[in-house]
This record gives sequence, C-alpha cells and structure tokens, in this order.
Amino acid sequence: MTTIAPGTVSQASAPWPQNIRAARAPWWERNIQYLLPLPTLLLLLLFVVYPTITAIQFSLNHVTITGEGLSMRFTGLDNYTRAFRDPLIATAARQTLEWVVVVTAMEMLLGLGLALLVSSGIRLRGLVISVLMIPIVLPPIAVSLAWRFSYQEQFGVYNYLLSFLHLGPVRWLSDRNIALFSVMATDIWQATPFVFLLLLAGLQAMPPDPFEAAAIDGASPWQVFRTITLPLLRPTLLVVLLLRTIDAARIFDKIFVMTNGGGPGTATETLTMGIYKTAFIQFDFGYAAGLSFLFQIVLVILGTFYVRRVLKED
Amino acid sequence: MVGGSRIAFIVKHLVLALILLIVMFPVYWLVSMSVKSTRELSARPPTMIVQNFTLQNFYNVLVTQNFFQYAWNSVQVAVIATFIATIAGSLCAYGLSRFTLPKNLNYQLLFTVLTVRMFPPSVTVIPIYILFNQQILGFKLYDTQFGLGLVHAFVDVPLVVWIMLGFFREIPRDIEEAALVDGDSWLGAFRRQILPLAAPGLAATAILVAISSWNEFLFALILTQRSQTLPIAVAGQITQFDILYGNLMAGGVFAAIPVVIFALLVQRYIIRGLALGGVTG
Amino acid sequence: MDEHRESNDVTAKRVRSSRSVTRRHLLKLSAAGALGVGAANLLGASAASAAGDTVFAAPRLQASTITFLVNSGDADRIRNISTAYTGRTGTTVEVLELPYDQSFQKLQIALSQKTDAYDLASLDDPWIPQFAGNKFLVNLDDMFAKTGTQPNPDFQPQLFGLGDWPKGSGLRALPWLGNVQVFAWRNDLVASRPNTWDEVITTAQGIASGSSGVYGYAIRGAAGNPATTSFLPITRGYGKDVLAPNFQPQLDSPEALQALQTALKLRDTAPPGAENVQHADVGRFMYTGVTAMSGDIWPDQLLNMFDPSVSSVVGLIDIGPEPSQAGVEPANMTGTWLLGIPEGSKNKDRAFDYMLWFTAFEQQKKLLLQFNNPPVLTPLFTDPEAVGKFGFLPGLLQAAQKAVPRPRTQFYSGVEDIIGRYLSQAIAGQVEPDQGLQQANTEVRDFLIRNGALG
Repeated sequence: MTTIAPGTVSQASAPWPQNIRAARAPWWERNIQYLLPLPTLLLLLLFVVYPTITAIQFSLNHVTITGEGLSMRFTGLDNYTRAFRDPLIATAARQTLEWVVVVTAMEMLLGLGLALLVSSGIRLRGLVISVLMIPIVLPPIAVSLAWRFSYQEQFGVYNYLLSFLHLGPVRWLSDRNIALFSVMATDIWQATPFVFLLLLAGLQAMPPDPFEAAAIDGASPWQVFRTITLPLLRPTLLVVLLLRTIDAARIFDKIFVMTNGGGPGTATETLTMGIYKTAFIQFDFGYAAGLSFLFQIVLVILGTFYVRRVLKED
Repeated sequence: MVGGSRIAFIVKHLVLALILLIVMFPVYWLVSMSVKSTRELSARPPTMIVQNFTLQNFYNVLVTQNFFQYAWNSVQVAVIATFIATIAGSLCAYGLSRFTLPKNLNYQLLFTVLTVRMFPPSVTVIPIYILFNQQILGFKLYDTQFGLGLVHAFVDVPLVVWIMLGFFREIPRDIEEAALVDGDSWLGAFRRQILPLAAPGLAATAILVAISSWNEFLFALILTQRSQTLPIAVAGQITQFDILYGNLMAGGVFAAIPVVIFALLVQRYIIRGLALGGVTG
Repeated sequence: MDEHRESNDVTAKRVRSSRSVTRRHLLKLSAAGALGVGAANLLGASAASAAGDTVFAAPRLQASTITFLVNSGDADRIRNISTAYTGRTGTTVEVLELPYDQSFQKLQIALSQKTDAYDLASLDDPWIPQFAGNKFLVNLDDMFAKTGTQPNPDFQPQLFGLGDWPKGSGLRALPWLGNVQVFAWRNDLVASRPNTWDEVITTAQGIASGSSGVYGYAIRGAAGNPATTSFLPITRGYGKDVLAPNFQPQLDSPEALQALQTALKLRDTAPPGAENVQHADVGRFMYTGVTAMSGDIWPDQLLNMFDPSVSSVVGLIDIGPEPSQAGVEPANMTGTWLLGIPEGSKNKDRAFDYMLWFTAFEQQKKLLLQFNNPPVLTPLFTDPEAVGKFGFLPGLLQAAQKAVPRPRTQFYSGVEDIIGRYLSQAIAGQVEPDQGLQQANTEVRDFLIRNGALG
C-alpha cells in the first residue's frame, strides 16, 4: 500500500492513466466517466423535468381547481410581482432568514463540539454516539407535539420545572417575541445529530500521520485543532453547512404542528409555511409556484457562493 | 501533567453528562407520555414519574390500528430509497471526483443536483401525483412502496452526492492507480481499496437517507393510500376532535425502534476508522 | 321515446365498462343490473318505509368491495359497524383513512382528478361548497329517483340541509356525524345562564377575579381556523357573520369590531397563552375544570366533560345555543360530517345502498351508544336510552335547531385563514382591533375577487 502524503487532495482534473485503460478495459470502463453519473441523472430527469415545467406553467397562470381538474388563466409575471408587494411574504422572508442564521449556527457549533468531544477519547463511545442519535430517529411529528405539550403553560413540564427554580412561567409559544426561538430550540435539539454524525465521520476519516507528527513535535491541543484538524475538516464542514442551510430554509413540519402554522399572529410564519398555505388552503397554486421559484432563486444565489468555495478545494 | 489530564478527563465527562441529560430529557418525557393514561396526561402539575403505568396506548396503535403493516410499508420504502440513493449518489460522486467531464459539466451537474433540494415540495406534489397516476407499461406508480421509495431517493440523492464527493476527494488517486498497475480491474479497485476508506461517509449518509425516508410526510401522504407509511398513521392520532397524545407518543416510540436498530448496526462503520486514524487530544 | 332513451343508457353503460371487463362478464352484469333495477323499483316503496332495510333486492349486485375514505379518528368505529353490512350483503367495506389536517388537501387533488380510488368519502361540511359546487360528488336525488326511494324523513332538518349545495341543485351528501358548536357553562359557578355576550363578559370577569381559582372563558387564539372558529359565534351574536350571504366581507362593520373587542375582553379572563390555544386545549381546560365557560364547544369535548374517567366536572356542565345580543337570532355553527359519493366511483349503486343503510336509525343508534357518535336523526336526540347515557343530547338538539353553517363559499378555507391570521395577531396584541379588521376585510375582499367569487 502506498504511503499517503499528508494533506494530499485528489486532482480531479488530471487525466486517467491512458496506457492502463486502453490496454485492457471493456467499453464501459473506457467511458466510465459518463456512466457513473447516469443513474443520478435519470432519477433527476424523471422527477425534476416534468414537475418543474408544470410549476413554471403554474407560476405564469392563475390556477384553480374546478370540476374539470385544474383550470388556468394566463397572468404573466403577476405571481412574481405580487410577492414583492405582499407584506406577509416580507415578514415570512425576514423570519426565515432569522431562523436559518440562528439554527444553522447553533447546530454547526454544537455538532462540531460534540464530534470533537466524542472523537477525543471518551468512555463508552459507542453508547454515547447511539444516545446522541436518538433525537433524529424519532418521528418529527411526535417530537414536535411532545415539545408543544411541554411548552404548554398550564400542563407543560418546562414551566413546572422552572417553578422549582422560582422562575416565572414562560410564555413559550404564546409570546410572539420568543415563540420562534422556542420552535428553534426543538429543531436544534432534533437536527444537531445530523451535523454531529457527518462531522464525526469526517473526523474519523482523517489520516493519522499529521497528528502523530504533531504529537511528536509537542503541539498543544489548540494548535493541533487550528492548524491540522480544522483545515482538514474544512471541506466536510462547508458541505454540511451548505446542506443544513438549505434544509433549515425549508423548515415546515415543526412550525405547522407547534404553532398551527405561523402563530401567534404571524410570529412564526416562514416562507415554506406561506407557500403551503397559499397552495393548499387558499388553493392559489399559481402564486405558490411563483413563490417557490423565487425561494429557490434566492437559495441558488446563496448556494453559488458556497459551491464555488467547496469545489475550489482542488 | 498527570493531574492536568485527569482534570481534563473529568471536565470532559461532566460536560458530556450534562449534554446527554439535555438530549435525553425530552426523550424520557416523550416515552413517559406514551405510557400514561389520558387522565394522567392532563394532570396539573405534570407527573414527573409515571403514576398509573399503562400499555393501553401501545395496544391502541399496535393491535387496534394497523401499525405493524404501516411499519412494514415504511421499511420497504426506506430500504428502496436508501439503496437507490446511496448507490446512484455514490457512483455519481465517485465519477465527479475522479473525472472531468467536458464543457464544465462537473460543476453544472453538481449545482443542478443541489438546486433540486432547494425547491419546496408543496408545488411539485401535484404534478408528481398526476404523473404517478399515469399508466406506464400497464403499471401505475401511485400507492406503491416502490414509487414512494423512488421519490424519496430522488429527494435525498443530492445529499449523498455532495457528502460522498467530499469523502472521495479525500482519497488520493494513487490508490486506484497502484491497484490498476498491479493488475486489478477498475471495479475491483473500487471495491477493494476505495470503498473501505469511504465507509464512514457511506454509513453516515445511509443512516441519514434511511431516517429521512422513514420520517417523510408530504409525499407519503399524497402518493399512498393502502401502502401508507408510519408518519401518516402517527399523524392520524391528531383527529378532528382531539389529539390522542398517548397514542401518538406510543406510535412515535414504536416508529423510532427500527431506525434505532439500523443506526446501531451501521454506526460501527463510522467509528471503525478510529483504528486507522483519529483525532486525539 | 322512453324506450329509445333507455337503450341509449344501456349502450352507454356498455361502452364505459367494456374497457375493463370481458364481454361475458359484461353480459352477466347487464342482466343482473336490469333485474336489480326492476326488482328495486318494485320493492322501492316498501324499502323506504322499513327503517334500516334498504338493501337492493339482488344482494350480490356488482361490487363486492367498496372503499370508504374516512378520518383516522373515525376508522375504527366505521370498520366495526360495517361488518354487519358485509354479513348481510356480502359486500366488503374497505375503510381507508387519512389524518384530519390533511384530508381536505388530498381530497382536493384526488377528487379533481376524478379518481376511482374511493366509492364513499366522509366530508366536513365546510368542504361541501368546494366538492359539491364543483360537481365532484354524485347527485343523490338522481340516485333516489333511480332506486325509487326517499331520503329518511328523520334527519334533523338543519343538518340535512347541509348536503344540498348549490341550494336546490340536488342533494350531494347525507349527514352522519352531527357536530354542532354549542355554548357550555359550569352550572355550579354560573348563577344564571348568560343570554347576551355582554352578560358573558360580566360573568366571566366575575369568575376570573373571584376566589374559585377558575378562569372565566376558554377561547382559541391560534392562527387560522382555530381563531376564526372561536370568533364566529361572537360576531354572529352581534348580528353580522364574517361574510354576508352574497359573500361580501363584513369585518369592517361596527358589529364585527364590537365582537372582536368582546373576544379580547374574554381573552383577558382566559388562561394565559390563548395565542396558541387550539381545539384540544379548550376541551382540556373545560374538563379539568380550569375554565368556566366557552362558546366554542363541540360534542367530542362534551363527551370528555361527561366522562368520569377523564373529567373532573361531571354533572356540572350545561349546554345550549350561543348567546346573542338583543334582537339577534342565535346562530350555532355546524361542523357536521357528511357522506358523499365521488363522481369517479365505479360502484355508485352499492355505495349508495351502503350510505342509506349507514344513516338508518339502527346503525346510527349503535354508533351513538357504542361509539359516542353525535346523532343526526331527530328521534335519537330524545331517545330515552341515549339521553340516559349522554345528558347533553337535548341541549345539543336545541343547538342543532339554531344551526347555521359557515359561509358557503368554496373559498372559505382561504377566507378563514386570512381572518384567523389577523384575529390571532389581535389576540396577541400585535395589531389594534379596528386596524386588524380593516386589513382583514380588504385582504379577504381581494382574495375573493381574485378567485371570481365576488363581482
């Protein structure tokens, strides 16, 4: 087995050894670079092309459900311009941003901290990992309702526990200033294991040589972390950050269950909630489609920055 | 020095204990709700230790309702989804990590795959419903475990591609080249040299895809009826009248068990890497 | 002339079914069909009068399975009841279930695609304008005519009328679960029943500031349907519904403003956290004795209040029609569930027969006594056995007689969502009452105009 030089990252742009391939490989090995992405492409084609075309069509029309199915009336870009004048969407956008920033930051920090802690040599590591994974395996609806029940002011257990510390009852889900944060707490509790798991895997996959060398040199833990761990973990960190950001922006289940979608008032209204209500309660599929595209465009722009940085890791 | 690392050891485990407490308390509460009677659930103040332990809630969901059937549906869907997503995604990621496609296709493909995940599902649900109800080769995908599994795979393939891309890129090409020089085929090299090194990443993504499929709600709701999955059945405890908290939590506990088992089985592939290389200090 | 039309019908039938059955099968079906229809016509008169005995003369007609879509909460009892039908006719009733919150959405999509997946569906009465209005449901008058039967005269008239939409165009659904909103109060804490909303306020304030430790009123403040449903009886009590009969929004009226101010005063007498209170919470408040009154009470909550195994207030609850200001007729809201046959169903006749059987006195009584199903047949409200078990039935009947459905527009869910958002904001103190109502009014009007419901 060849030795692995520390810090080597594969050169995706270097050509495959020509002599090796041409000599013995069947056609499917010679064209393997086209075949490997094929299953994924097929999957995407099946479920992206048709729905996207339909969604674009919806977004350019006023769509309603009638006796004959879906009826459409061409409205051009109205569904898009309406979004910019809609105060509810403005609120939803602002709160979605709040949500994404806070939740992602907390989850990344906690997840990283936990992954480092668990990797640093602790007792009963397997057990600890299993316990830390429990929040994410529970069905979100059960978790949301259990937390909602616990947040309830008269029957809930959190206020009960606080009362022992002589701290006043907190209006977890009814105070519009803290309702969003209460729901955030639930999501952070449930989704941090996602970050933890991936960062743990990333830490475990790291080559041992740099660390051995650092130990020989007598580096302090902090130095090791700053100069070796973090740079090596960076690609994984960025990918996890990117994925978590996208998922956080799409938050829906928890808000739907815990505050009946947006309450109190509009304090927990987010974009996906707004889109859902537009589509399935107001049955305004055209506007919902327009909003969905705008939502996606924003994420795409955001994503472009991330993606460039991650892919530049060559 | 010994004293210092001793303190570090204790502090580390104290912090860990505190974290485990915060993680476990809501779980404890959820489980305790599943074994409380309706009367005790409304007790004011709430009872920290269950006073009238009852298995009625579990009986309701497992025996009276059809939760084993729903669980079996969910298993099939999750297996299909995990299988397809992991294989398709890993192959794609491997290809993109090793080869450069013409005309900047690498970047295009990766980006497109990612944007798929950005679209809120509320709007795509209807076209997919219509699509699934079409007869293709005498076959409708609507209300089948395979159909739903396929949709779940599609939803999670971006996750797999992006995570595995990172892991594959960390593995130097020298390994395949050495194997090829030694006379192995590409497929052999992949199986014998690359996969073991990528195991932590594969295990982690497999767990996450399985969990995501297991708990997925919207597509499962719209695209199934008889092959209904667990999340729909659990949501069914929110009736038009009352929220049957006891039943719901019992359903939730029941739904968690298979995934816990799966995670326990697979997680050792993640920490296996500790023998090869790990972080100390 | 009739003969000609008859053979056209038969031909049409043949064309439609030939896609999925063989010729032989088809001939058998047609023969059986003709026989069945003929025999049913003969027996029609007697069948209608013999309560609970409206089975087709040829029991093994057509379908041996029908699918019935219900809410998850109802699935068990319907399965239970239906075994008797299977025993009698050999037809299996496959009960499929959906969670409540999502069934409207799924039905929207499925029914508009004329799915044949369901032969019967259980529908909430606010959904009727959407489904009946768009002709997603079979016209039951035609079915009655075809089988020569009449609808059961014992249906409570207000509840029966819910299935007739658009008004006069033909019955589209039959009621089976009589859900009516009532006003409930603690007879040990409330000296005399409040008749107007002003009296409700003073009573609630008295109790809340008193020494009993009980709150005055339970009100729902969660955004959307909850807040609107709590608000409706109050605004109707002041004389104005949220939408006028011609669907013009009336939230900018002085009555609506008074109603909202009343709601806010009642919120002050309610347990803290009203901003997030939903249906189940109100029930819990009442049956654990936390609150003394509420105008947003439904039969399922009554069942809990009268159930010794969960309730702390058994025997202490009285119910009746909603309070209303002087000169205003009380109007209780309905939330009744009805049975309809989707247009795409391939087993309409069998489904119809099941429907009649299901809503007959015998089955309804079983549903009531064994499974706590609120009745829709007038005799059941006063049946001694039933009243012995459920003391609130007479009060419920009174409320049913004053029952008025929510505004019958197919876009009501959207209207309700908009109003509920502003109401929730007002209850949370996020917006001033008059401002909130003005904005709600404008937004509702724009919404209705955009959907063509208003000129």
